[in-house]
Amino acid sequence: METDEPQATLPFQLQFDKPVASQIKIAEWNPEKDLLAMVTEDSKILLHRFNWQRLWTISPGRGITSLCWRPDGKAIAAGLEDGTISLHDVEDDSGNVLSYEDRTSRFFPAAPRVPRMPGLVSGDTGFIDDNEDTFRELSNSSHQRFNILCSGDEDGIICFSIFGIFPIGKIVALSKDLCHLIVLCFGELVEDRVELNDKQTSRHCLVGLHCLLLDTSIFWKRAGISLCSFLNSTILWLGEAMEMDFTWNLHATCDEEIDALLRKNELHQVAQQASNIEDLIEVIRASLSIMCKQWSNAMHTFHEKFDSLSPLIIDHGLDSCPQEEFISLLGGARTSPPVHQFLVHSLGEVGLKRVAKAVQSAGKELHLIIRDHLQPAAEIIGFRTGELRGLSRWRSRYQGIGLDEKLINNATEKAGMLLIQVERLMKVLSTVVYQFQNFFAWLTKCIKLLMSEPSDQLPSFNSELVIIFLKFLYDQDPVRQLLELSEIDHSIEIDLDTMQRVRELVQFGGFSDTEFLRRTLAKEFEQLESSFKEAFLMPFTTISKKILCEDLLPLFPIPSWPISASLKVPTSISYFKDASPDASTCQTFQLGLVDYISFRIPDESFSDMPNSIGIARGFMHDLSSVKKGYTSLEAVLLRVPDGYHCVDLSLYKESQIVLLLNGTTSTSESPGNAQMMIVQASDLPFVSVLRSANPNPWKMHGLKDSGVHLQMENEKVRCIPHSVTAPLAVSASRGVACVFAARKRALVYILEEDEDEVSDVE
Amino acid sequence: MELLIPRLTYDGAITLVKFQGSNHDSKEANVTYSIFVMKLLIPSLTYDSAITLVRFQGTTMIANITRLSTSYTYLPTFSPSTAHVKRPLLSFGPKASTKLRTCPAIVCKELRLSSYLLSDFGSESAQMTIDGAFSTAWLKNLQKPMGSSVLSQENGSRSSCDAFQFIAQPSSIPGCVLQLAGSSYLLRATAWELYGSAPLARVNALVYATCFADASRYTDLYQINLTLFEFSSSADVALAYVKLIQHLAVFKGYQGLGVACPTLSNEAFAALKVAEDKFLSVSKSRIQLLKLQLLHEHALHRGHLKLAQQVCDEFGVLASSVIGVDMELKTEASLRHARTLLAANQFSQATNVAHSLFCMCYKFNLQVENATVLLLLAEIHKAEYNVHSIVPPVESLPKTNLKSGNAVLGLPYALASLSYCQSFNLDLLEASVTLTLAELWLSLGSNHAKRASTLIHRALPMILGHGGLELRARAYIAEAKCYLSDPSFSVTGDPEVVLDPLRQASEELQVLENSNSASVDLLVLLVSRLDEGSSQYHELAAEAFYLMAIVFDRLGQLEEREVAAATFKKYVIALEHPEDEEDPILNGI
Repeated sequence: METDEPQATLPFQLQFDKPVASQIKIAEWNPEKDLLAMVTEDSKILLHRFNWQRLWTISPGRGITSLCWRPDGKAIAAGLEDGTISLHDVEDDSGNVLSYEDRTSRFFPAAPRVPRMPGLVSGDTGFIDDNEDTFRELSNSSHQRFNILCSGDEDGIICFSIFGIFPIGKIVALSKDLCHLIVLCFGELVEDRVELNDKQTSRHCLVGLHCLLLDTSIFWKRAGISLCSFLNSTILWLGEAMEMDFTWNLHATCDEEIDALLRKNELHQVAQQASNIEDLIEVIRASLSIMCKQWSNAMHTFHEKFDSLSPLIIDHGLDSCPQEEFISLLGGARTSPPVHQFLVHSLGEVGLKRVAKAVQSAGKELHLIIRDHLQPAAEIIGFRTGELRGLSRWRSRYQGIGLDEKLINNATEKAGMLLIQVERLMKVLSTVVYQFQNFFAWLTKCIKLLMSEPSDQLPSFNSELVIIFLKFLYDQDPVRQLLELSEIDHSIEIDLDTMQRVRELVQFGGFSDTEFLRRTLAKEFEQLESSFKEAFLMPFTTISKKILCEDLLPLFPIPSWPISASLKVPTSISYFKDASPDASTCQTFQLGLVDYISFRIPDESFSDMPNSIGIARGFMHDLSSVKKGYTSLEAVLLRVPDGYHCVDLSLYKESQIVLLLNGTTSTSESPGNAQMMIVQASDLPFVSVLRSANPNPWKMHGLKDSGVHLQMENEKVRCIPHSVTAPLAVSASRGVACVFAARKRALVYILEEDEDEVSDVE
Repeated sequence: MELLIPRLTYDGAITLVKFQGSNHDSKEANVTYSIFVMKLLIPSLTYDSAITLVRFQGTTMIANITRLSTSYTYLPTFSPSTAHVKRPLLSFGPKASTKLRTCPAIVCKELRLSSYLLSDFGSESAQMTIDGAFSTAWLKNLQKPMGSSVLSQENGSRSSCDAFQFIAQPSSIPGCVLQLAGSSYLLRATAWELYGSAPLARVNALVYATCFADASRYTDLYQINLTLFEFSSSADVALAYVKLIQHLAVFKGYQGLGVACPTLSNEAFAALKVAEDKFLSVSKSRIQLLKLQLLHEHALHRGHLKLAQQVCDEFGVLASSVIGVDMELKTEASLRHARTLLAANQFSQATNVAHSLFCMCYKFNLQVENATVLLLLAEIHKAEYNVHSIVPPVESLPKTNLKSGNAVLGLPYALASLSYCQSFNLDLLEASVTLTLAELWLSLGSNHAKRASTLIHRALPMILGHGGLELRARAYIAEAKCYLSDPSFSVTGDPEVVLDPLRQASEELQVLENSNSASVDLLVLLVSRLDEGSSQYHELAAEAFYLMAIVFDRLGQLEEREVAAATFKKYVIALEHPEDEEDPILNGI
């Protein structure tokens, strides 16, 4: 496969060079496996193996703005341009790590799924359905690992969601007038991930909460600094893996964080129950709407046929209504001409059969949905709320994350009422369907009699039920009214006995709200939903309050505002064990783990330092070290060699940074040339950044004189005979880099082996 | 046959089924076999509910509703699955060969089958209706102010709201179908009681009571075996109410909010009274049984040991004297007997009773009861250790090790019980066994405090969510004791860690038995004296306040300490001066 036999002196071996279908916008290696996820210009997500075999393609139908793997490599999150995030499961989870058991799977069969409209096959929904499936699987499989998805959107709101589904916190860090941010999140002040937004000033957020101390600082507008919030659906996963490694470290941090660590498990349990309940609520909602639709269709068929009777009656000059005519027919009176005409000619036996079949099959479908979706969903919701109630009573643990017993109790009551409502719906539905059946049986007999055909083989009917049907069902539809949410508050008439019984049940521990039977099912569901919303909002707000913004480091300004979407600033953040012994103060911090933030400085930012790359390290401990009298924040400025500009950069392992440089001289005819370069970042002459002394917020600017000029000759460089484009995907675990060249080519280079070779040579 | 069935044991049932099956496949064999299957499905499903269900099946057959029969009769075909017990625990753990026929998920699936009934009754039910039955109902309803309006003339105006009047009409679903469908909710409630989900148990009983309790109203519309049907119907309704009352007693206490019925402060007893009136004629025995149960629990809580013993004896009398018959009643009677003895600190006698009870349960394969009895044995050993210091002073725990041998003896029982619970998915019982286990560890000395607190924390969500008031209070106290006996824990550092559970415990106990607000009514009749007796309740409350006083003392909050100490003293005095008196109510029973 190798198109290009590397020369011995070339540092990075080319693994292969493949064409790609369309230009790649974003590319990310799976952190655990040899999988490369890519987003194309036309917003498809491709998943390839290391050998370039394609596993699958998804097209979400909307523009994809960002892509991120879960740290365990089992799920991928894609941020879409409308602000939603879609999650895709790459494989099924297995194995149980957590000691907390979710009992639901032991006691219940698999949870119901959203029912589908039968007989509806539309070609273009194929992909969407697939997405929904993966999404559901993802949320139903009980998650073994605790992951938090952190996402930011255009409005500068950063959201944290457990499993990527259940929102647990939100920072409205930035109103529109605040500029965009770099979000720097780290767990326990140790783990640190940064998602760098674009341009201009940058903002650091440290996140706090269950092992993540996120602290967000806001860069506010100052004279000359324009504002923009540009974090457009950038997402990142904060994983458990790192935080576990550094638990021992915690003692160095303050009590609150230890507290936060303890909260992790609780949050996981709550999120697990809650996200499942939310799923089930969706199932119920979908079931109700589909049932409503199907029933109305059947009723439409019925009325279409039978509505022609009233004009007939009027045409014959009679002053009555269809019901009365039918009753007199039932009563054995002479068949009136309009009814005769209607039954024999306009309806006929065939028409009647068709209507009967429509109603009956709708009834069957509805029953099926109730049985397979609605009722199980309501039941499991009841069970899960019960579990949540147990948790909410453990005040010392769960109050801290905002689980409120009263609200959960309220939700439990609502879930119980819903179960009763479902049962009632089932009764009403079967009664109605039965009545229809009875009515049609009677009509068939009438038609046969009118046609003077033998009618003794026909099913029997009950004439009293026909009366009830004509009185209550002929022109009304109780089923639909139970299912449909209408603005007008209908209250259902309940017979006295039932009412009395419900009131009496209060003494026996029944629902204290005795009026619940007067509500329709749809109304009840609405109340259930809002009670759950209220209950789950509590953890959300409680946790949001605990996410603090701690530190802020402006990196570079962006002169133009608003920022054009095309302007992308490559950034990369990573954590390295502090390998260099001379790394001064950093080392005093736990584990010697140091965060590196690297970014290209746009030429427009500082006119006097063109073509530069900034690297900052030690930011995450800076604030705490300032208190102790020194600063850990250091930075260095790299000058890209003349004739090249930086396309993308990525931090690689062992404090190395991979730079992708494009030659500036390439013309449209020549394929262009590019360089890939690895620089050992820890060896660079970092300069301490003193923050209080300098009034200039742009600390990087202060480094302009100390910038390091990169020399092609001195570094490990590989020439790429194409001009390259932005995404540079580097996999630290595998030691490979994927580069995308301008002419729809993907080139994979092996970074690892080569190092050995080089060292051998040396 | 009808009479025989309720008194059969499993073994008896199996034999009978085999016998019947070999001879001819009669309806009775079917019925018996179905009961047997039901029992296997849900261990210790009460016979009554199983029978109810199966009897409906019989009705169904009469009514020729085939669908349900098929769904229920294929129950026996379940492949034996799940829960193979791997390690036979000691000599009295579950047998190594014990296998559960079904896992809970399958039980749940089967119970869901009942909804087929309502959707499929249609075509075949027409011939069951008696012409004219509805008209009778309409005419009857005409006399009621809000009744059915089928025959009323005035509502010619048809607003859209009218559609809902339909719902108020007598349902045209045959009563037997409704009953059968409803009985699945009773089964669900029973299943959840065992599996441990209090809200679902309650809601399912409520669904039955709300949606199906009137099923008998319509029986006269259909031609079916009326006597059988009516009887089973109201027995079922009574069962639903019994379940609700039990739930009330466990979760709301014997007295309570008094919102629902202000005249009677005691919720469970008030509800019982209403139920008694309601089901006066029908199922006296079931309500009677419930009454005895409540009385016994209540008497134990309050320390009226003589009364408790009397109630126990009543229990014994209710059961038949034939061996192998009325097993449930018999086990319950001797279980309660052992509990009473335990409350009276007669440990060796209690142990004897429990041992023989265990042998009996083991013989008749009463698995759930096995677990319960083992738990009781563990508790007896625990109590025996604790007895001489009503409240074990936390500091002196290691020193009082003299009798700790007993606590060690309790451990194997607790572990055996635990493994029963695990193999039968009895989660709530498992949680309470775990709690007892933790208490046993705790009583072995402070170096086991960590282990105990891990155990408690594991069981706590289950206990708090689904356990009754007393269990919750016990768990809170045990949690606090764990902290206090952990040498590395300092009260001054974080007093709330200890105070909060203690406060919650005293709250729960307060609800359980709010003695001061006891009102004149039924309660006074039932229990003549308040605030007395050497009861579990007093013991727990005394313990909570004792611990609270210790914590306050260490914190230097003297005022609070005095208050807690005074309350403690009150409870101890009550504990030491039990004034058992003849209770007039017992004579009435």
